[in-house]
Formats: sequence, structure tokens, C-alpha cells
Amino acid sequence: MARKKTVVLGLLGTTLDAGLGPNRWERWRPTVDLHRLPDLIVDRFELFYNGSAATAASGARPSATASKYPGSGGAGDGGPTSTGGRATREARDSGFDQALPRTSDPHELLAHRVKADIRELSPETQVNLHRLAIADPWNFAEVYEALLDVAEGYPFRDDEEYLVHLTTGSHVAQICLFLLTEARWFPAKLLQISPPRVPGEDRSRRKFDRGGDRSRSGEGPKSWADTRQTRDHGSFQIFDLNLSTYDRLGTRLAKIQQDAQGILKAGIATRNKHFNHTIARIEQVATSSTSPMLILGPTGAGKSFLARRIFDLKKARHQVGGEFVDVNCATIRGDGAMSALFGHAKGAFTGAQGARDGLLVRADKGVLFLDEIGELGLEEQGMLLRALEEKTFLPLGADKPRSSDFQLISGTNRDLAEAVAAGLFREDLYARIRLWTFRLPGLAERREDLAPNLEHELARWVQSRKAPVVFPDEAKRRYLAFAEAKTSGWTGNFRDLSASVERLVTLAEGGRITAALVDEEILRLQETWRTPTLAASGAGGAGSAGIAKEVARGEQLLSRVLGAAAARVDSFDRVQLAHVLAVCLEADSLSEAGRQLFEVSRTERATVNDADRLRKYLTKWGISFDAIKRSA
Amino acid sequence: MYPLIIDGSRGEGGGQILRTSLTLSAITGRPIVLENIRAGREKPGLMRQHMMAIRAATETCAAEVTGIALGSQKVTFRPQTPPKHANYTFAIGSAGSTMLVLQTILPILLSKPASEPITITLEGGTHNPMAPPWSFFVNAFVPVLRRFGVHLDAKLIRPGFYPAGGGKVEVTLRPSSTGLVACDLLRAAGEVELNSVVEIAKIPSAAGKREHTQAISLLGQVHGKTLDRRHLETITYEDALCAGNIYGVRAKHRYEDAEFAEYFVTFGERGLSAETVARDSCEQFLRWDAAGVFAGEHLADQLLLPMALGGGGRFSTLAPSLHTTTQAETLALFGVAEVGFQERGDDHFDVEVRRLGARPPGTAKGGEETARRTL
Repeated sequence: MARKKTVVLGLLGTTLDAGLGPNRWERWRPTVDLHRLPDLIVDRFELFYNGSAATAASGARPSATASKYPGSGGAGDGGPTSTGGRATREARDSGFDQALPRTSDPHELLAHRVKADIRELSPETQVNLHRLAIADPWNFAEVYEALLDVAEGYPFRDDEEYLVHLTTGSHVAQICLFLLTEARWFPAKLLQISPPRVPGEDRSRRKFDRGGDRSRSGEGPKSWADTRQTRDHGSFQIFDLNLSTYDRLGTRLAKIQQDAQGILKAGIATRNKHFNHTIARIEQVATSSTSPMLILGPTGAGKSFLARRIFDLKKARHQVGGEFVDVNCATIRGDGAMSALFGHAKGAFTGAQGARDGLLVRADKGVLFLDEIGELGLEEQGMLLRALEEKTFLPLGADKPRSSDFQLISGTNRDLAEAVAAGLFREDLYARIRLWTFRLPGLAERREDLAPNLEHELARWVQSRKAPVVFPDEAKRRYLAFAEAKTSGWTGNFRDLSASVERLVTLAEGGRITAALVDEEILRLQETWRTPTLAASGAGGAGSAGIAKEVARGEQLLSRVLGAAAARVDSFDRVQLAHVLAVCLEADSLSEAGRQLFEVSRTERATVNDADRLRKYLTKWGISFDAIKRSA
Repeated sequence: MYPLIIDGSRGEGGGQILRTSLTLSAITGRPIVLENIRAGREKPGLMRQHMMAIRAATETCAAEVTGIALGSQKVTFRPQTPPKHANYTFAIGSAGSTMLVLQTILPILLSKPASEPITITLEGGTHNPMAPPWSFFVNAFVPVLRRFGVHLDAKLIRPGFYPAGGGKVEVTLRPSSTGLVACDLLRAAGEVELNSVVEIAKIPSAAGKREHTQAISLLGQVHGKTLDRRHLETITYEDALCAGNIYGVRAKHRYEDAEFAEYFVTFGERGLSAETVARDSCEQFLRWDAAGVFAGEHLADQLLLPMALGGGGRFSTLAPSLHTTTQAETLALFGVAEVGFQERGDDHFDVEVRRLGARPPGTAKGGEETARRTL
């Protein structure tokens, strides 16, 4: 098979390659000297220089545009026998080289000088000169664009191997060349050359006999016999940005990426392949896109948690300047929703005594997480769509639009496509928010991640209690065996796990989680799952979508107000408690809620103290009216 | 014909075994497979200058070649024609020395009597520290070639100093009725005529003057003769592309009515004083003169091939270098000649070259196995 031709693309080094007089040979000139390397043969050199169009010679003008590459890819005139016209010889004794064009452009002159010198060193190398027109060589955008033009216009061929010479050119140009090569605009490897190492061969200051002897090395003179094996001509390195030369850098980049994924996973070393793949994708999207993201997954799968982590990651990369705003759409339904999200003007409605900014404004330059987005009313959906598309919206009662630039992350455990079909969700909004859709698997689908998540939860509780907890291996094995078994439902997903760990830690006497305690906890969990939560049964049962929705909303309310303790509420009590909480939330005071809740029975009573009755009921669950209001 | 398999890492294990093998393959027509090329070197395999030598050798015998690539450690070379008498022009550049290419192809063209003059034109480095410089070729080697019956003119058109190169030389071989003849090259004791020779380009002439002064002080009295101003030569090259300085001590001597010379060269370099450069050449001369031999170390390498091709002979030399013994082994490997080294005294060896019958093509003695056994 024929050898691939080696083609170097390089920039004229106006400093390193400089020199027109005979003394130029005493200096190391990268573009010239690379043709002396014993182990690199260049078939063609495409030499780019920055010339001013105004002063360029009219005669020996090289191709001025990147689209013209005469001689590239041609058969060339390789081989030692071809001498060609060597006009450079004719007048060199006079010290003025007539082969050089008559031009007042010093760079063009130098380019021709370098070309002629390359011919002396390596007659088989074809040198093509190309003029670039860069007005400001320190302007990154301009240099990048000029070089991008070169990369786009150059007729790269499969039967040639390309090297981009990085030793010469301004650092701006070098950086641009690196970036363009890394991005594969140049299908090339990078070539870097270094001057000779031997002190006596340091031609950057080569001088013959100035009286001093080679004192530092004590070396004797060199006849050709001594040096005929090797002589240092300098060295070169070729970097393939695609390959293992960059392993170390690659490892480092991979670590940064891993750290990023670690942020997303809160440092939990998960093992589930699907989940980790999802996280890797999310990391990629989160760090490179500001388009909306949609997270699907059952309740408790950690959607809100993940959204917060995405925000953390973006913040670590300086990609967001604003806040993370977390809204559960199920909790802002009704009249208040518009105002909560989009704000209102002063006097927009009765009771609107002051203006309100709304959550969208708060999320400006940050991330807005709308959980249970399927719960959003149609009107709010329309407004949200406009806010996404135009980054502006009209607060309630205002006549001037507000603007907010936020990244939207939506979460849902509902099938939004079904909601669209049922006319409950706007199709255009759905299309807008689902550009990046990720599905978070429930805990039951990632049983291999139970162990690391258990450790994480334990560590979290230990940290919040500031007291050590011992979970002996035997007891832990017992717990995990149960947790990882297929029969364990984990219907509440991470909420179940978190609650379970909280119970274990709280009940651990002397900070020791015993096997007996684990057995007790196992029974408790089995109990929870044997009587499926209403959320689960409602969704699968015969009840209408309305009931299911109502129940789901109640479930969210429970977990929001009670936190992990919600898992301990019997299904017998769940609906009632959820309803009480919902009423409390809407009511302005404890008394008002009591009145509503005991509306029927209070008429039959002699003394009415609805507030007291309600307070007692709430106390039984360890909550207060104020706590409920605070959770909103 | 079976290819001869040559282990390129043998002996000096570098470019020389490669070049000698190419030369002998072209002469004998024997295809070769060169393996382990420069295997022990820091950068193993073919380098730029070796590829030049291969390309040049290829031209002389229309060889089919595989494995020419930088770093290649295996090359096959199959001559398709006997050596072609034609004019050759090679533009080598300064990276490869013109002298190494000349070393490779000259014996090929000498191996068969020419009916027409042949001119070899070489462009590139002529005074390159990686090879014997032109001055060595003209002063020491050309007289020997004449003694072998070669009629040649050697012209330096322009010098090509390291690093710029840009030199040009022409070597013209004229038809000779005798072809290469057998001869003995010994040395008549004591009789030498010394010259101190400075070649200089684009650097102050003071350096050359100091080199001469050093030579006068070191070699002022040799064999009762005084080295003085009359024996100083300074060649100033105005047409060199870059600065350069080479110092040489030329020792002319007569043997059997023919005039010969040994030429001891040192390259001037940054960091080396003129005195050090000249002293090195003088010391080389003194070692050679004390031994009383015909060929110094480097001339010995060059002598073996033409002597083997011309029907054999003898010469005296210093303790043989690895280059010389490798050269001898390669000649034996091809079945061209057997070389014997006989120690005559301290730093004094007689080398005897006996022709074997491996030329012309097709008459090589035995196959590869035989050739290997002769080693």
C-alpha cells in the first residue's frame, strides 16, 4: 500500500522564523528546521502568513483565498532526482535574492525566504504559500474565523496525513489552531518541534570561535566519525487529540465529568446502569443546554432532589446567576396560582394591596422547577408557554409585561400525553417542555442502588443528629436482604427509604441498630406496602381520574407537611388527614378552618370550639396550624 | 534468486550496513531483505538520509523496493537490471549528505567498465558533519580510486555547509580500458608532505589563522621537515549559504610511484576554539604517522569495497573500527570477498582482500546458507 503523504499546515512565525540575511542559519527557525528532522519527511507544506493586501506584490502573489490550493493533493514532485527550477541560486551571492518578490510586505518577503530555505534542506518538499488577511492578529474571533475559513476550504484527502504545526504563530493563533484541531475542523494531528538539546548544537546562538573553549562539557571536537551515528537536529512530537497521548488529560476531564455526575447523584455511588446512563445524559445536557428539561418518574423517585442538583451543577459551572425556585403545581391551583407564578400588580384584585413579583421573576437567571406540572391550570399553561417562548409575561392586572430568563425543569408522574389527549394539558406547551425528557426509575427498579442509598441516608441522619449510629453488618445484611428482595414494593420510593432510615436511627438505643430493630422495621414496611397507599390503588382502581387526582394531591400534601413521617400514616387516616390539611391551607386562621371542617356537627353543639377540636386533632399527628401554613 | 537476509543490527548496526548492502545487492543482482534496521538505535528503522540512499541505489538498477517508510525496520530490495550507466542527478537537501549517497552509488557504477563518460551530480550538503566531507573525498579517496584504474574528475561547484546545505558537486567517470585492478596499498616509511588546510565561509578569517598557528606549533617538525607559511592553505567560500569552518591536515605521501594523501578533518563548531579544532586534526595525523600505515580509520572503510570489486589486494591501516569489520563481514555475506585482518604491531594491521566469485549476477557462490557460514 502506498504511503500516505505527510502534509503540514503551519503559520509563518514572524519572530521565530525571521531572518533574511546569511546569519539566519545560525538561529533555530522552526518552520525551516523541521525539514531537517531525520525522522520526519514532509511531502507538502502549506505555509500561511498574514499579509496586508495593500502591499502584496502583484507578481508572485500566492493564493489569497483559502479556496484555492494549487498543487495540494497532486502527484507532487517528490523523489531526490527532481531538481526543478532553482532560481533561488542565481543571485544569492550578491546578498540579494532575486527569487524573492519585490514587495513591501515584510511577511510576504519572509514567507518566500522560508520557502526557498526549505527547498535547500528538503528539495522533495512542496511548499505552498497562502496569504491570510487578518487585520488584528490579537483578535481571537478574527483569527479563529480566518483559520476556520482555511479548515473549511482546504481540500483534505483520505490518502494524506495532516499535521498542524503549533510551534509558530502568535499564541492567539496557536490556541485557535488547537481548538480547531480538537474540534476536528482540521482532520489533523498536532505537530510541535523543539530545538536541539546538545549545548554545542544550540543554534539559537550558534557562533563559530569566539575564543572561548567548550568549557562546560569538556567535550573534545567532533570529527564526522564521532558524530556519524546521530546528530541532534532537534526533536518533534505529534499529538493525536483523539488518542491515548491525551489519556492523562482525558482522565482529568473524565474526573471532572464524574464529579459533575457526582453532584447530580449527591455523591451516591449508584450501580444501576439505566440510572447512571440517565445521569450521564443529564450531566451532558445540564452543562451545555438551557432548554427546558422534563423529569418523569413516580412520586418519591427524587425529581425535586435531582432538579436541585442540576441547579447546583450549573451553579458550580457558573452557568446560572439566579436562584433555584421549586414549586409544586399541585399546591398552587386555583385563583392563587396565577398570582403565585406570575405575580400581580397592586390592586389587581381584592386584597392585592401590594404588588407581588411571583415565582417566575424570582427564578430570573436561575432555574424554575415546576413539579407536577400536569396539575397546572390551562390558563397558567398558556401564560407559562409565553414566558418560555418570549421570556416575558403579563402579571395579573398589570399592563406592562415583566421579563424573566429562567431555565425550566418540569417534573411529572402523570402521563402528559394522556392529559393532552384529554384536553387537560396544552399540546404546544407539552411540545415545548419535553425537549430533554428523562425518566427517573423508582427505587424498586434500581434495587442494586439500595445499599449505597442506605449508606447515604444513614450518613445524612447521623450528620443531622450529630451522634454516631452503628449498623452492625449482620443487622445491615438482614435489612438489605429484605430491601433488595423483589417482594419489597418501595411504593413510596426514596421517601419510603428515608422514612425507614429515620425510624431506625431514631429508635436505635445507644446509637445501635440491632437485628431486632431491623425485624420490627421490616414488619412496618411490609405493612405499609401490603395496604397499598391510596395513591397507588387510586391510580390503578376503577375510580375516576378526578378521584385519583384528588388522592394524589392529598398524598403530596401529606408528605409535604409531615415529611418522612407521612409514610407512617395508615391509609385509614390518610384521606382524612389530607383533607384537613388542604382546608387548613386555604383557611386564613385555625378558627376558620375549624368552622369549615365541623360545619355540620357544630350546629348540634351547645358550645362551639372548632378551633380547639382541630388543634387537638392536629396535635395527634404532631403538627400545628402554623406549621401547615409554613409548608406552603 | 533467494533473497539474502541481512540482519541490519549486526556490527555497527546503523546506516553503513544498510548502504553497503544496497551497493552490493545492486552490483551482484542479489535481492536482499534487510531486517532489524538500526534496531538498537534511539530512533530505530529508516531515517530520512537512509531513504535517500535507498532511492538513489534504486535508480541505478531499477530495483523493486518495499518497506520504504520512516521508521521502517524491514526493507526488501530486488534489482531488476544490472547497474545502468547513465548520468544521475540527486537533489538531497542538507539533511542527507551528498557524500553518503555518493558512497552508496559510486561503487555500483565502478563495478562495470563504462563505455561513455558518466556524470553524477549531487546537490545538498557537501561538508556535513554526519559524513566524510568533500575535502576528504577529493584529497584522500580520489587518489586511491585513480590507483585502482578509475579515471574520474571531481568538481565542487558550490560548498554546502551544515546546516543550510545548498552545495553542488559533480563527479565524472571516464571510460577506462582496464576496469578496476588489483593493487597493494602500503606506505613508504617516513616520507610525508604536510599541509594545513582551512576551509572557511562567512566567519572572520582570524579563526583560520589561529588554526594554522596551532598546526605550526604542533606539527612544526615532522620527519625533519618544517611546517611553515608555504604549507598553509586557506580556502574561503564566498558562495556558501551559511557560516562554516572545516580544518584539515593533509599528509601527501608516495607509494610505488603513485601519489596518495591522508586527510584528517575536524569540523569547527560553536563552543570549540580554533586551537582545539586544529589540535584534533593534528592528533589524528600523529597517530596515523606513528603507526606508519597507509589508511587511517575512515579511509580504510572506503577502501574495502573498490578493492573487493577490483580483484583484491592488501593495505595497511590502524586498529580496525567496528565500521571496517562490519564492512568486511558484509562483503563476505554477499560472497564478494573475504577479508583478513592481520596484526603487525601496535595500532598497525594488514588487511587482505580476496575476491570471491559472486559477480556478475547469478554466479553467487551458494545460497543464503553458504553465505551465512562464511561469516
